[in-house]
Amino acid sequence: MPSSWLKRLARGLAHLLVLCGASSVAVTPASSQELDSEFDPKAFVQEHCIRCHGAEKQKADRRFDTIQGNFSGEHTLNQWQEILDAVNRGEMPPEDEPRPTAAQTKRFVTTLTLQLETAYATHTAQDRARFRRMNRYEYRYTIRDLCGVNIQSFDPTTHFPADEKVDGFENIGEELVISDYLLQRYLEAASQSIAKASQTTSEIEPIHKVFSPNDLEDRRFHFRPQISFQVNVDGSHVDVGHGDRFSDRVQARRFEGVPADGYYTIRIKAEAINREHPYDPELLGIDRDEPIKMEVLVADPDVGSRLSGNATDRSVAVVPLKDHQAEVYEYRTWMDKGFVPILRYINGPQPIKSVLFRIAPKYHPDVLPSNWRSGTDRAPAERKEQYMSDVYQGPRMRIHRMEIEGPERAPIEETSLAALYGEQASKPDSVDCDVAIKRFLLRAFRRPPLDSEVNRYRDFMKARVNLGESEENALLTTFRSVLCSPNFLYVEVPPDETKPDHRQFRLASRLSYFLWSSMPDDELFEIAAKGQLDDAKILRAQIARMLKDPRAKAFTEHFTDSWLRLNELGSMPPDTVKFPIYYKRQLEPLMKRETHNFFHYVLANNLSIKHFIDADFTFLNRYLADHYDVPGVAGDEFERVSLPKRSLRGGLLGHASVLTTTSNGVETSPVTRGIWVLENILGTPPSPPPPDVEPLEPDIRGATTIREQLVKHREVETCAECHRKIDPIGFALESFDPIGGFRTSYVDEDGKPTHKVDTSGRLATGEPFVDLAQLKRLLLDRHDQFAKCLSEKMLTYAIGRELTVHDRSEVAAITERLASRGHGLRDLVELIVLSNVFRE
Amino acid sequence: MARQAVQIDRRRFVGGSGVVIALPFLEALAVPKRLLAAEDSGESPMRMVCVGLEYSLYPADFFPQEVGRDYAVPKLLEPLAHLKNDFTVFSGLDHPGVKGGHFATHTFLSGIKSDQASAQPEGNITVDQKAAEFVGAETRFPSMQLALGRGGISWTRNGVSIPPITHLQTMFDALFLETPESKRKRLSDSHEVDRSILDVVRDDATALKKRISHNDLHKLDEYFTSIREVEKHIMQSKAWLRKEKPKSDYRLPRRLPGNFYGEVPLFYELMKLALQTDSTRVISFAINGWRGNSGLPGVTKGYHDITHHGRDETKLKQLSIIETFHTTEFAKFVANLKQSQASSDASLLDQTMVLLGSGLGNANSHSNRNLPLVLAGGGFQHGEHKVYPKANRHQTPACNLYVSMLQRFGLEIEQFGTSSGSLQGLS
Repeated sequence: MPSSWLKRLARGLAHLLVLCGASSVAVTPASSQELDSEFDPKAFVQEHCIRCHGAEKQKADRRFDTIQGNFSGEHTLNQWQEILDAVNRGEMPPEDEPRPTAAQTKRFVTTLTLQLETAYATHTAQDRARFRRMNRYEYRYTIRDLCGVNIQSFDPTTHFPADEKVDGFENIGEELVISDYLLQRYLEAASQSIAKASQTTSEIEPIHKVFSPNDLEDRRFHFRPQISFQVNVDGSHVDVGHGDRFSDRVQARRFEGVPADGYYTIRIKAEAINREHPYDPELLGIDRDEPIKMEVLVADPDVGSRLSGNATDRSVAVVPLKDHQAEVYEYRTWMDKGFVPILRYINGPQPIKSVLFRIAPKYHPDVLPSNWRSGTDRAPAERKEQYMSDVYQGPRMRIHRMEIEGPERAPIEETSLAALYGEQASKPDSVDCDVAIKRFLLRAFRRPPLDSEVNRYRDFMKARVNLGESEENALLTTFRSVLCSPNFLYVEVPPDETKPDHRQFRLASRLSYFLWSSMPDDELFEIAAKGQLDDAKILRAQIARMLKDPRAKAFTEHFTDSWLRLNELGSMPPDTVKFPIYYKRQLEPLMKRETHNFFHYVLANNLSIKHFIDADFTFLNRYLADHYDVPGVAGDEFERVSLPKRSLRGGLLGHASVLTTTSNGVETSPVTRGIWVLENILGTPPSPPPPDVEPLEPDIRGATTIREQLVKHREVETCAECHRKIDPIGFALESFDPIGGFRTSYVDEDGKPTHKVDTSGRLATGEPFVDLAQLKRLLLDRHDQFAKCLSEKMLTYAIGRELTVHDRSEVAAITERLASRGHGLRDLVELIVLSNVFRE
Repeated sequence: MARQAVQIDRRRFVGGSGVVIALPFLEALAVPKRLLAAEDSGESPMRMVCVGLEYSLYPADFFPQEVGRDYAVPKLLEPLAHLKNDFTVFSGLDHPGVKGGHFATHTFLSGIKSDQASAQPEGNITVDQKAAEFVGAETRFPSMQLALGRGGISWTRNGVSIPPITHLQTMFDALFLETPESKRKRLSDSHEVDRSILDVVRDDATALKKRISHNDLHKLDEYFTSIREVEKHIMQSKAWLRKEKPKSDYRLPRRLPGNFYGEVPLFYELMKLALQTDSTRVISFAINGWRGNSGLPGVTKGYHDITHHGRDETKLKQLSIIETFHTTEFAKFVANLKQSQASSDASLLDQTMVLLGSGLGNANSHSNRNLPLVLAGGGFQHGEHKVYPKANRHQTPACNLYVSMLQRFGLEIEQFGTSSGSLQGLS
């Protein structure tokens, strides 16, 4: 991605290249080799490299004639490693240059590998900064677990600024700053969270409300439909004919919201009307084969306007309704105080206004498409005229009744009070504050508090009481302050050398933030307290347990999003005119879900990571299957789908999430996609373009293809060096349009085919391919390289910092063990946790 | 000379505190003590407005052909033609070394990419925030950030992108809606609790400091600095909490416009009111695009799609509609400031520097070179097309312009972002 190019340059180009460098030629471990002192790698470099990377030319911005032969200093090490990697991969020297013999190459590789390993072993790691504050999502999950609050709707981090990403990762400590702005948000978030957690619901009288059609929609002025097409004609039901996202929705107009946080039961009696309608489905813009669907939402009605989507909207269910057969549907869901249930015809015609204007002239030429004569009328037109509503025969969602009942009484040990006070929650009038503070500190700091810390917060509470606060409130204020302490906000804090048991707690915390993005649970705390986390067997059992826990969803989602940059999906939204389906069917979250489900499946079944390159299955629902042209998927829920024989959708490179992330929403770029593969699959990011090279200026008047333009670009020598690696990979992915739809031709503004897509290319190492299927085979040949890349990415995520040269040997060890175990993804997680870097 | 005297006073009162203030719209800030200085001298203070366009302006329609005063006004500047002596248009300025197309447009006001901020002494602080630090607590809002579609363009010195105001009503309420007494009481109580919380967590951090290594100190320092600054904010907002907001006859339309075409002019209107009432002296306004229908007559395609025009005539035509709209609304805003008095002998425009520009030089090629930049007002000598040709392959940094702006704003600085000095020929 261009965004990361410059940063790399600034950080020291070579540094990063080394990290992501990879070796595909197996090299015998150093220990079994004698150092070949006769051989001078520098002479090899002089002979084979400096013609292009010397004083006169510095292709790809590399210069090696000045390289030091003594392997001291990070920069020199990085340069040598980079040379070694390039030779190892067979990329250098390039085909068109005089090449060394196989024996010469082998001698160079063996000697240099050995020398570098020796150098790494003696080179001591610099003492690195180890502070890392929680990022936004970690904060939110931690509040959930620490305060026992339900965060399905509640989000104390709404106003937090976005966290800075490093190569897609949002948990890199060095980049996670604390500012005055954020600290103010922390003060607010602490106050909101503690207030939420400490509310008592035991005195709340449960409600049971039944809303009739008249409660849901006024009849006044609605004896004929509004343009939004939501009507209550005679008080027996409400009909909704539109699927507009930002328009009227069905809700009880005078219901003030539920009285307290808790679980509620929502019942709706509803049916589908006129799925079989006489109109041309093209004009309605909906699919007749699909059932009419009702979405059940909950939201805070005071946020945003009733007419528009609301930031607090949360979808509870999407239910296909039966045709002309009213049924009662029941859902149990968490609702925050003040929230209301809302219904929507999710797959209805939209925008209804245009739909009606299209239908009227063809089927109902004599009627007014609108009930209002003009936009400025204050009252509906007169009755004597005929309106769309009288004659409309299109599909509708019909609501007969809605009920809400709750909250359910929860036993005290399942409430947030138990999270705040522990066992003392059941006797709120006689809480021992000292015990409560100590317990809360342990959980918030993720380690036993020091006596000095306990005293500090106890004194704070006393001071609050002296200022006139009740004991109960003073304790809550104390909890609030704990949530602003650096010991809470920084998840990675150097251990206190005087407290050896802190190391165990630190490891427990690192493990839980890796797999759950949240604090340890009681079991993990207990094991840490017993000092058992050094026992590999116990550690393995914990990993297995934690991965099965629902909280591990955080790992699947956030690691996948960071590694594959899916957290940038949506930052370049696809064009609304060219790709209406993307919005109409809300494909974006579905795309992400496919990739998350796929990752989770590979993880849960410990399948080989090669599945990320190619697989014969994926996860789809009806809409995404439609998008992929995969037949036989009917449901809204995602299911595991075996892909047809010749499908290109197997593996990440066929996922629409990846293909959309690597486009700009308007057109595809083989360059962007090629770089993405080099960075995230092969682990060999290209160096940034030289400073004064300008990007291509597209000129479509001559109707040249992007391929032809890039051919020209590669004629420039400085560009060719990297683009011969980048472009071909990108060409193979040209089979997919900017939202990942399959195509064989490019189209013009009117959707007419212009040029055929040519997906053929040749890797920089020479192997030709005709399409993505063949490219994937070539990538599979390089699965060692991929394994290394994935190990580096996961290790970075696990320890929350960028890797350096000192982590190389560790990564190599992980990759080697992974190969011997058969490349299982769960094995990789385990190997990362058991590595020395993770346990340091 | 009078101006000089005021500046000295101003610095003494602010005490060179270098406060980073980033409260977009919450009840915020400021001890009005420094106001006295300006009032005493009868001098009206300087203001700054920066308008950033995510998708740039079509270079062929923006940059004049001729250099100097007698340039033929290009198509996109036509709406500003009647104000020709009130603005300067620049060619050849950009941010050295910055590239990355859309991923680099956030450098517009700083010259520094966000992921490189940590290596810079002042991070990627934007020119407006640098000015806001200087204003400090003198106005209710040290600065305001607005945006239409997507995020804002202001960054603090700690590398934080300030979340902007995106709703007209929010902006209006921030300026004019009086805080009810019950809420004042609540805020005042919570200020007091927050201060005591900050005291205890500071002790926690001090204890932590003794246990950590040298390399971690800078991280913990971030925390200490934040505490000090929040304490300052709390003091300042206490002072403003009791002060009445200005009264205005202006009312937003009862039915707020639902599209871009309707919203942009109203945002400019509110910006003018914010300056007139001295609610703030620093505003940034990011114009990114729209969701759904723009409401612009004749525009049927997506904005981003249109900017990928590939010199196609139909797309260029639509692009021109959008971009002419940008410069027309900007021109109206500038003209409004010109008609508004800041003091007995100066218009509000004389006391407000208004910048229009983008971090992108050419949207079609995603180039970040040669940024389109127009500066109006602020008491500069205007009326020219100033050209800064490449010398020794080096472009003149756009940050030189920002240095000149900040100096005019009253800061005694020689350097900002990637500048190599102040901007030659601008006075």
